[in-house]
Amino acid sequence: MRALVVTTGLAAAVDLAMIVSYAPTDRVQGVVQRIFYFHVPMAWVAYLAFGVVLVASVVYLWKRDTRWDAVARASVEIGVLFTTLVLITGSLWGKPIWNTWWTWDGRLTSTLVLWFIYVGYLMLRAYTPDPERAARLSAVLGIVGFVDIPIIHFSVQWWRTLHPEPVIVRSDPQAPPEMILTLLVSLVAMTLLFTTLLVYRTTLERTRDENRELEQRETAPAALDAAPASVQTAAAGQPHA
Amino acid sequence: MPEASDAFASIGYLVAAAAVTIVGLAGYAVFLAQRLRQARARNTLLHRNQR
Repeated sequence: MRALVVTTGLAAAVDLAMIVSYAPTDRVQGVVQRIFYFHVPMAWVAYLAFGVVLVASVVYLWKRDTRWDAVARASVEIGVLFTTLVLITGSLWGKPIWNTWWTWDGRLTSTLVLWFIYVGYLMLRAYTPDPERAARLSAVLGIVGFVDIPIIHFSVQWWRTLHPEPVIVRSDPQAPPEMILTLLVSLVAMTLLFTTLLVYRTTLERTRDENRELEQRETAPAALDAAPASVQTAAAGQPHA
Repeated sequence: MPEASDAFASIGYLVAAAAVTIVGLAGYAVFLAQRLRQARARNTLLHRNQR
């Protein structure tokens, strides 16, 4: 895990240096266009995080293995963090370019809906007392919620919107090679960061699950001591006197 | 592009976006490390109690 942290740190440092000194300044938008190098990779990571939730939820419903549920829980939290940052950085980019912090167009609205879906997932987990039921219900939400991602992706083609269409992922990229290279390095750095956070967050979930089991084992004999004698003999497998 | 032509305002928006990103990601990483440390400490304690 330490090697992953070091690699992520190095990639982030190289990426920051490239954003500041290597990537050219956009002729039309000026220096504010550099928001692109973290706004777009964070949106990609949010898609990836909810994709991981989709896969982990499907496997959990199929195998009923709590390790997959832990991966889904971990990935949702990270996905919500990245979606929040995408919405904030998008707003900070929109104000100087579109002259508005927010507009109810297809791309922005569907991204906000995505944020609400997965915040709902976290609330469902927090307020459903039975862990097995919480895991099952949230797995269904994790699968259904993913439907919003293709809607976000194609929203700029389906509806008239202020948000630009893709400039890189197309047959004739509309950006100079220095911009494309910087974006690729940013994508790698953000993906590494996501992987690191997911590994640590899943470890946290697994440790908490184990702690809950140990706590139950610890409180079970105490509860048995406090129970009436008839319950104790029944629990011990003895016939009633 | 009302404010993009103003270089000073443009830098301000870029710095704000970079700060939100760095503080958000670094803050989450620190918060995560803290929660993991607490969970591991509790885990060690519970294992010790059960021995």
